[in-house]
Amino acid sequence: MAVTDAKGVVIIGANLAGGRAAEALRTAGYEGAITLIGDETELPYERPPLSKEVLTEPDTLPAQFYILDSADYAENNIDLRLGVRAERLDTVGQKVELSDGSEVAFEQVILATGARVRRLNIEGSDLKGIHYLRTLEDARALSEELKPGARIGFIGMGVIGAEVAASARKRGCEVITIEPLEIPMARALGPRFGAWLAQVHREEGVDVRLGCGVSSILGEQGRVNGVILNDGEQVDLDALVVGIGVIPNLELAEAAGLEIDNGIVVNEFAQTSNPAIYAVGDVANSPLYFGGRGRCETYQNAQDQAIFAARAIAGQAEPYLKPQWFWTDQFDINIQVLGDVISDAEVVIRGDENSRQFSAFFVQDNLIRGLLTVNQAKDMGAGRRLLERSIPVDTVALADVNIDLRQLLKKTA
Amino acid sequence: MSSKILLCKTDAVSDGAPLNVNVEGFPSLAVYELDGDYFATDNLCTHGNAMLTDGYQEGEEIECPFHGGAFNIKTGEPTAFPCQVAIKSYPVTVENNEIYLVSA
Repeated sequence: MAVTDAKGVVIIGANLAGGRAAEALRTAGYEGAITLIGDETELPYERPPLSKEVLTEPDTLPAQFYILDSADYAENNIDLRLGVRAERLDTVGQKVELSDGSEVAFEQVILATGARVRRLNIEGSDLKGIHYLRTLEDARALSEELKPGARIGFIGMGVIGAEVAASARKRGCEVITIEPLEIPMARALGPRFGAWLAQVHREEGVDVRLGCGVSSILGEQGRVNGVILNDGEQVDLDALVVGIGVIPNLELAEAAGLEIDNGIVVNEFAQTSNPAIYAVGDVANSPLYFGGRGRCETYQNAQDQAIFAARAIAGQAEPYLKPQWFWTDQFDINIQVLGDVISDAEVVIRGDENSRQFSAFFVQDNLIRGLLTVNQAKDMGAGRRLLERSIPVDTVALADVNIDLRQLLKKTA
Repeated sequence: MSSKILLCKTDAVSDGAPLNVNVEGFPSLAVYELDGDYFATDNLCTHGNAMLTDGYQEGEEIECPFHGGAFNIKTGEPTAFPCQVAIKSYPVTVENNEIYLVSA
């Protein structure tokens, strides 16, 4: 088959990062060819609803589920190739080889290959009724299991396990979560607020088991019907959800000889060790706001890093360095986390920690290093600016709900 | 014939502190002040289920508290992802320190 003549940008990964990158290239005035390649057959879509609305209201997709309407791709002259895999990145010949045998020439590549779920590999892992969650197809299959009264077990209580557990309760399921660490969502929320979240789940009727593993999976006629915990207890189940993290999709980058270190190593412009190739989102190992490097598996990072990479290609390079930010919605609670909430900084509570509405500021040397809000997203706007502008704060004032946070910004601005 | 609907007093809203106003026949409205001028838009973000008056106003921009998107308070146009659909903006007029929505 022919190589597409016009060299341009090839984006690998038709997802949030890939879709935003394509859109942002055009917004930034890029006039070359854009090809967006994805192995799912769906148009690029938002993954956050997969663990929430798609499970709790399975009959309709949420409004604005898709990143762009199908007409927008044609209008913006974006060549969308869905249901095909990028098999090889030929950096010398400057072309990408696709699973349908075609090739696309490039000047630059944006790798938004994302991550795939980590799978269980204990006995019984291949039984029916064991679910993972990454794609719309996964969510639809899982949704079928969430019948009222169904007993749903969870291995892992990270963000996916915790959100899906909340959705399963909303559907009237009996829920047991099994988490090997002593704290749920420990990596995201830190010990204090992870423990706080465990309490919320218990109040909502979830049987939360912490510091607990699964020693084997039980099945009958090829379908899961329970697990044995490592203390020997047998738990009967109708379905099992596994949320034990993700593995970045590095194969293309590795084969192309790019520098890899738990992700594709990129600089502050999202450029890999090959300057014609960019990597964004879950798959990229990037410089972090508070120093060091890491991969960020968040919506905000996928979106913003993609936009910065697109602008860099369009000649508007600006360093991308933002404090990490994510949100999670569980039961009637919206939690947002900004920056570093894991450090041993002083925690200043604004509001009542024993309620479901408060903010927690993580303060070190009078500077805000992190902010966690519970149903108090309105503290995020001022809080983010206090953090990003490194404005020294008075912890007494921070804790005083009668003092408008915007006043703290102005005082020293 | 256009009609006027009272939204609020001018001193109830200030730059950086927009006000949620509910009036009959309209969705929740956000009323803003900027440099002595007043503006009104729908208050519900077109992306997530959030009230913009809980967000952060910086000049002409209101940032949604949920997912960091933003809109121009004068035109309602989206100015930052993930917001892509404009919020409705409404003409207002000020008389005797009271802000009115001008309805067609």
